[in-house]
Amino acid sequence: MDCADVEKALLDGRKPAGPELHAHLAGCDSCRFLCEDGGPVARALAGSAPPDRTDLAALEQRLADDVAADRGIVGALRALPRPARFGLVAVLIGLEVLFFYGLMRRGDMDVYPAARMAAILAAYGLLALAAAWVAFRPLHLPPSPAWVPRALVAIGLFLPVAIALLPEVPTTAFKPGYSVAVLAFKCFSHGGALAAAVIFAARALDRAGHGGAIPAALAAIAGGAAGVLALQLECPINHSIHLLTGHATVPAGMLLIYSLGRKL
Amino acid sequence: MRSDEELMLSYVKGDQAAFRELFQRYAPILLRMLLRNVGRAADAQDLTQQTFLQLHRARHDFRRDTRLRPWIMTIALNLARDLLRRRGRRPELEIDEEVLAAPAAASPAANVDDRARVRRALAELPTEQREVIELHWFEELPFNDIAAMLGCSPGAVRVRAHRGYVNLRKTLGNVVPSDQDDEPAAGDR
Repeated sequence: MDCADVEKALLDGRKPAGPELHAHLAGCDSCRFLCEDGGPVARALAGSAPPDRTDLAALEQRLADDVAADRGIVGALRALPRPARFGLVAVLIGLEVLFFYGLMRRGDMDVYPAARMAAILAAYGLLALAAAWVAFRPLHLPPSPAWVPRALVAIGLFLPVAIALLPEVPTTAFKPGYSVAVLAFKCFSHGGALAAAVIFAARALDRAGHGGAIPAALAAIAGGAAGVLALQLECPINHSIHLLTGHATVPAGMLLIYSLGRKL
Repeated sequence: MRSDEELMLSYVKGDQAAFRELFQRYAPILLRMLLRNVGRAADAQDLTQQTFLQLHRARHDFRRDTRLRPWIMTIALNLARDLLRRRGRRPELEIDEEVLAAPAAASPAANVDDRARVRRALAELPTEQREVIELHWFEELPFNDIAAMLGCSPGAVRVRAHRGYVNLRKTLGNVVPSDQDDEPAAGDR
């Protein structure tokens, strides 16, 4: 005897009984409740279903239109398994790193503490990849625990702040004539543009399109982390105030801009 | 008749008719489940459409040893959860004149007011309890499948179901007739 047998018997107005029932009830609290005290609940539930008058043909036609619109390159990319889609974002971030390290490397790279640089790059890189991996979680799997995306968003917002507040590496001074605001805007817009490329890729590869708030927030964090990573390779200014205003604002800005964009 | 899994594998290979057959099989089930979950017919239809679109997008993830029913229902539940999160958690119960006018089913809850109250009581359950009751009671999925769909242990699912039934019993109060009410009156014997 299983749960379905118990429920069917209750619906039929019978009191299930016998050794098989007792064996089942020993391990099934919900059936035990239904048999002892909740039989009326079972029958009430059975009568609760609302009638459905959906036009299935029209619904099928709308679905056929959706599926037809989903073909093409973007549709094919979205249909790729999660590791492949994640790999594409990882390659994009890797190309960004190679480009900035190869062609736009900061002037003080040779004197900047190598271990600190490696640790910062690894932290931003891992954050971007983790956010992309969680954002691409397929809908046919149970959702991640709620704390996972929240923790990634919190880390994405606070990690650049924490790095900005580390003891300063005195390698480069502000050039005379430049204001903090101008430099901050320059780095923010530069990092933001790079972040946007990653966000665009992550959203294009996300199967739910623009529907889910959590994948959207995670894409913004992944993009923001990639943007700050690129700035870390490119920008030689180590002052906390610049890192706070020009670098740490990139993930927060991406999250804010994307959230506002979704609401409009 | 081909199994759900055979149809899905055929669709992965490009058989469009297989997808249409899956739609015919599952659309009514999903509509019913989603309507109970989100409360509004228009939302349930939209989510059903989205579920099949997601099924299409995830077709290459489908493996020969996977069962389709829990797979497609997990997609639908995740989409419903997202909608409820955007809407502020609770399912909305639509006041549908046609529903109220529909002939009552032969059941103790057949009275339309009672049916509405049962639906409202279900809607007021915490999401994790409501989902388990929906899937176990209405969709007849075993606890092990539900556990796999929700990402928790079968034991935890049983506990949620039990708590849900107890809460329903408390909330419904006098809507549900007691067992004694079902017994024929002495004079009728």
